Amino acid sequence: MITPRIKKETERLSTDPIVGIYATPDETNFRHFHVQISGPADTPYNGGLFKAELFLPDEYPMVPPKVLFRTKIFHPNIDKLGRICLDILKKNWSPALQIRAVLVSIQSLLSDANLDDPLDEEVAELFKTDPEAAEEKARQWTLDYANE
Amino acid sequence: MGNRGTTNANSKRVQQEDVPVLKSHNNLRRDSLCLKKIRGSPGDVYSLNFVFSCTFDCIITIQLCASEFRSAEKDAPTLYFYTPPELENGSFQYKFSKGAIHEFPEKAFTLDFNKYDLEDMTTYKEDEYCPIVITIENQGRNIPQVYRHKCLMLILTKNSRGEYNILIKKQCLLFDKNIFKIEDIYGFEKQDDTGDFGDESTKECIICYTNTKNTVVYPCRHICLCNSCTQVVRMQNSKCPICRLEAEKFITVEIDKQDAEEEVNLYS
Repeated sequence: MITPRIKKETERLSTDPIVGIYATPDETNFRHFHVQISGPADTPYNGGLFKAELFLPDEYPMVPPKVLFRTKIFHPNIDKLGRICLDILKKNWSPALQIRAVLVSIQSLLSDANLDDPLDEEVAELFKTDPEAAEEKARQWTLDYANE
Repeated sequence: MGNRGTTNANSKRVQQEDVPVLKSHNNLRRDSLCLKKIRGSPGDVYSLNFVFSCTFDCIITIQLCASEFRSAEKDAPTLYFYTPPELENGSFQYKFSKGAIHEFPEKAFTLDFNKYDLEDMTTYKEDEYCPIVITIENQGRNIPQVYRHKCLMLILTKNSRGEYNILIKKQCLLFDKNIFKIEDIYGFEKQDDTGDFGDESTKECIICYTNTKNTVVYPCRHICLCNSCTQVVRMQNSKCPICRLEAEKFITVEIDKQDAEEEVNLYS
């Protein structure tokens, strides 16, 4: 059974979408969303369309949604498996937050990486020591993988 | 409040409390409370203005530089204020008949800031000293025995442009054999166009989006949960969903719809 909360959140995502983010519920599972995030302007991800999956666990909203990137991305807070390091997806989750807040936060993570709390140490190291090379690599990955 | 609801260090469970409903027989509209500079007056003279309603005739007392006292009698504690006699014009009384939306007359009570030490007017010591106290006391027959009076403790502030303003520091209600402190709760603010799901959402529990919210998280005083979601939060981490502050207790309040639209005070 779909909960009233998930129903309302889903409706609102379609009636009042977030600019640059497409979230559509799976046809067979209302707890599973297919997400596409367009790379923000003025970032190496600009022009790319990044796919992600969002799952709402049974305990949602008492526990955070689970989000995984499906498109390869060169980013210090997203690892090779697509896992995302974002505080509100872990210890800073609050049931007052919504799917919407999670997606907006991920979008802003693409604009503002957090180098102090990296998930992929190697990627973060390159962004710290040689930002130009790192951005170039991120741009190349965007062209190679997020350019459907 | 006593220690009834405080968190036990050994248990994660936080108590949930019901509170009785108290009726206040007079109300001072806090958004109407202001200081107006009197034009043409020498120096810094301000008039204290506000709008109030009372269901019985009442006496309004305004005191300056007041010390707070509480009587020691256990069965009927009383709160009163003392103004030093050397303070000229330190205490005023006004009589009003019952009615809604009285405007406290302009210039009825004026403050000349050249006469007072700014420090005295901007300092507040809880349970000890207060620069301005307004007490509204009901008068006449047929007043419910249990209800006594209401006190508002005010403080002055001065902004960078040198203008004075007035702030409510604390409100107390003497009811039955208790002194209640009136505190605001947060969660019924009118939302603008950017608010979530339009108007209805301000009454909805922020977790289930289904039931009406009726539980205040203490001490942050966010009202955001319904009864059943409160149970879940209590079992899980007992943090306020809005501000993540550790909850000491959850207080269920009854909110009648009309009140919720305007201003909801929590008596605790």
